[in-house]
Amino acid sequence: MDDHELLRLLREDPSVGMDMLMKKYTSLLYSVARGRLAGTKCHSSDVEDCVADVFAKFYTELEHYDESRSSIGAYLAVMARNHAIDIAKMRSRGGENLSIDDESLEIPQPLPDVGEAELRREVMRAVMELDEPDRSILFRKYYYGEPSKTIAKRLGLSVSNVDTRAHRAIERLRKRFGGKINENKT
Amino acid sequence: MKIRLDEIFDGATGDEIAVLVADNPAMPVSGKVAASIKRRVQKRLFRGKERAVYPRVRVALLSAALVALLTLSVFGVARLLDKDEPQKRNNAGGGIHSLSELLGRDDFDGILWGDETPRSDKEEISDESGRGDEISGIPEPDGVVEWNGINLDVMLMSAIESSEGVKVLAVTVSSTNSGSLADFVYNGRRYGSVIAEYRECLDRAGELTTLRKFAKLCESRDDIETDAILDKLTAEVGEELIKKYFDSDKGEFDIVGIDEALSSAETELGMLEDEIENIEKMYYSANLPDLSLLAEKKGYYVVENAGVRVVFLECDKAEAFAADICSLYSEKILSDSFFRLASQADLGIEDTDEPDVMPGGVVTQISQGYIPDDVTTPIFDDKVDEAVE
Repeated sequence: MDDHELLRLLREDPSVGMDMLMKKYTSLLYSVARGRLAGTKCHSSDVEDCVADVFAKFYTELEHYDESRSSIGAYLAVMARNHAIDIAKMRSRGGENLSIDDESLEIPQPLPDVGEAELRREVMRAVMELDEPDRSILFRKYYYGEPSKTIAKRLGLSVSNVDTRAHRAIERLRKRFGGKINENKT
Repeated sequence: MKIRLDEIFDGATGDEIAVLVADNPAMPVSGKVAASIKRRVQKRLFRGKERAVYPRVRVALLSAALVALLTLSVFGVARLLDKDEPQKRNNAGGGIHSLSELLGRDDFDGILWGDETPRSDKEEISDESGRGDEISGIPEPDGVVEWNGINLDVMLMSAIESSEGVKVLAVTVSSTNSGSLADFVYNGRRYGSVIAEYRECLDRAGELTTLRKFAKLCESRDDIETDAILDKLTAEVGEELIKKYFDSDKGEFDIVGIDEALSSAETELGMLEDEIENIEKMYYSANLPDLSLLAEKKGYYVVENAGVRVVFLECDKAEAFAADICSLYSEKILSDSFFRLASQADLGIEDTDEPDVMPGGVVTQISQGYIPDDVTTPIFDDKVDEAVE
């Protein structure tokens, strides 16, 4: 089922539409949220809450979604990542649950710091220029938060090969951006 | 400024994410995680102004509980028929009064459920948590303590001992079932074989995902040496799969065929997860005592459906509960039974759900597919009929 058909269903038969939406995108959003929340002070239930918040927000503000600007999957993935980042921040401060109306669920506006935004775009372009499977390795490692063992299984590589390729890819990025890539995760 | 490694995708556009996600499908989540997320979504959509938009999931089982308590009081039935006279509820006597108030409320504050564990006790996210391997995490009745002649889990005993004032416990009874779960047969299917089938299907889905990944890679890049990839793939997914989806004459993969097989494997996984859940439910509900004996005693409210049996009782009546159980059932039955705090998930209950029941106990809405829409509470059918007459 394509995005257009899914949107039609969501508008005309919300119950079936939501079922289809969740069936199609739960795995993606779970991976995105979990990737960002793993290693933080969050729990499994936070990941599920994050994903549920995103689905609910998407549905209740369906009129804000512009089909011509991005696919539903990409739109939801961006929402999930932003919300996960805020949940992680909240948890690290010892805070309670975020509301569904929290700003983190808005699609991000351009960052106020033009230099920083530009650097992020440049890094992203460089990542997209990486050869496969290096690009996929980085995506799975730093976007989905998958361990090397899982990545190796998914891509048909050995674990050591995954680690070596990841290391070399990061070194290439670091060399290109003059040390502006930090070794540490959050 | 510096960009951390976990931020390197923060500058991605929607199009870039779409490409990356298409090339790297996410690992499927287990049926349990998907169901839990679905419940959370429904819960959110029920709230506030969204209530009217999304079709509501009613709580058949809790409705049944409401019917059950109403059967114990003519005033309760009167209230059901005439909602303008809620004060009549207070005419119910003794312990029923406070319990019925709690069960009649929409938010169910005051009922202690089994899933109300402190956050600090919950599982931290680890690399593989929440994935398909949950299937091996079958709940075993461990942490059993003998208390006043019955088998309780430690959490339930702790809840009983630490209670203050009126608190209603949602207690469920399961079978300690000495037979092996792996050898348990339901509908002609042995649990261990279904699990093996599930794992095989999971592996097949993994192999197809790997195959698809490389097929897409070969399709998008001219400079890839297909032979080298085929060698690697053969080692990873086996020759049979390659033969099936690689046309050596054209030097192309059948991506449409792979997608269809992957989709079919995912559907099969979902069906197997449902079957596994069903067999587990049957295993743990086998040889349970007939709780209608208990339901006939004043002060207990029993809900039964699809192998799940929950007794609502006031915490300070727990001692009497133990004594009643022991007087009603044989030692053999009790030794095979195991009492624990019921979880809302067991019953498909969300704390924002409202009872929706017709006089006579007919459940008018399906709750998350657990219950047929014409089901009534079997234990209380007779009493409902009497009360309505």
